[in-house]
Amino acid sequence: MLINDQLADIFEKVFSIEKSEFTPDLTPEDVLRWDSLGHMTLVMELEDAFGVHFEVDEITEMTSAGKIIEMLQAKVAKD
Amino acid sequence: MALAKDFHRHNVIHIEQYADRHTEAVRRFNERLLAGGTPNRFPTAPVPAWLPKIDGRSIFQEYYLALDEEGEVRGAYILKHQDFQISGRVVSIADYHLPISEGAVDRRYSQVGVMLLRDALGRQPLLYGLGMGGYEEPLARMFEAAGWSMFSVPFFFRVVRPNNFLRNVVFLRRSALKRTALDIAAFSGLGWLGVRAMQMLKHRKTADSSLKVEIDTIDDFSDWADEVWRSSKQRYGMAAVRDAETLRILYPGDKQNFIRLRFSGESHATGWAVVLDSQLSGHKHFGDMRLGSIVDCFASVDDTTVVVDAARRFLESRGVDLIVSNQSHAAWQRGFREAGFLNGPSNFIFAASKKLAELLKKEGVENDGLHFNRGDGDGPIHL
Repeated sequence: MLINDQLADIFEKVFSIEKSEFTPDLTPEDVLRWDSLGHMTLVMELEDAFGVHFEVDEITEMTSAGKIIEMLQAKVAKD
Repeated sequence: MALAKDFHRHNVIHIEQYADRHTEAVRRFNERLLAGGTPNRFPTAPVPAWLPKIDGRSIFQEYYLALDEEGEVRGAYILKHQDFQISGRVVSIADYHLPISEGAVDRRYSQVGVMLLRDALGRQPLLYGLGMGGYEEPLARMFEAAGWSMFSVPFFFRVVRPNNFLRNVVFLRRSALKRTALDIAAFSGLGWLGVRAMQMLKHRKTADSSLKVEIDTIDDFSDWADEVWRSSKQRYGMAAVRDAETLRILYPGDKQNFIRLRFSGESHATGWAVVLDSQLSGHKHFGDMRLGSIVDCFASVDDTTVVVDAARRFLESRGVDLIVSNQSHAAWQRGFREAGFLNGPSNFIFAASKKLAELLKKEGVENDGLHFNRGDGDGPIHL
């Protein structure tokens, strides 16, 4: 499964965003449940699903779905 | 899109310790929080007034700030480092408290809350949180989302003046019907009878033994407190080190609101308690009551009942309306029940990081083997 599709699944699970509405442009300002708590849940889900760990510096860069896709691609490529 | 790019440019955030040069940025952070309608504020002085870091001390606080590239504060938290005894060995652990994220008022910073917690875990993996005001509060929900282990620390209360209690207990007076019923109970004396009957049923076998205990109000803790700690600590699965030196730091003699009690029997100290006697005004739970609280206490697990009962007698003699305490350890829970205290709903939550929970599990420490009360965490606030 492509990273985009997996992330769309996770956004649906964490933020109740329909897969058809998922785009890389989504930011916390667009998504009702993407608040501090939502972000914690998102990070935990991403780490579980992709078997990765995000450092503090990386978490600061998670400002949009597109940025998260880029970061996951880089992490997965490293492995 | 230009706006988003501009925001992202300014959104590289790093975390560092609070220093003098950040004071104005902290003030601006607090102003933005105030304007956004959140109740929390971060201390404006970089050196903590309570538990500053002093050479040689293992108990101290540190303030950390999340700063963007412009030097603006976007989040902050406090670590309170302290030695704990876990199954006989001393381990440094930290309390994570007062985390504040600009995400509370500006969704562009929603990642800051996670950064703060991850940063704290990087500095001290053995973290805990205490209090929080209930499972529904944001910090408790954050801990839950992060997979921390949590339980509520049981709340105990004993009504001393039922009429004042019934007229002021806010959580029981939330509807007009309940308010009227409680006013009638208070006025008629039925409430007095009912509360007394309940507490008498609970109050078992303590009166005689606790009357033999000598109660001394002390200015400071000294060698005898070391002896109580040394002889009693082994039977606690986990407890913050409560030797005389630590107690002098936590409850210093110049803090007049703390009432330090030493309990003795047959020429040696049995245990101690730190209590408060506070006249409240418009308190969200206790209205205008005069509230007695048993903030902290320590003794052999065999002596908890006599210690609690002696502390109760002391506070009752001062004229409080109600005595309250939160206690996690099984022996202290038993002590409070046997001294006639009733259980009430608790919003005082303990949360352990994954690493701390793993350590406790490895050492075979159950939740009720932990000794936590209002003296732990960020101290006896809101009382």
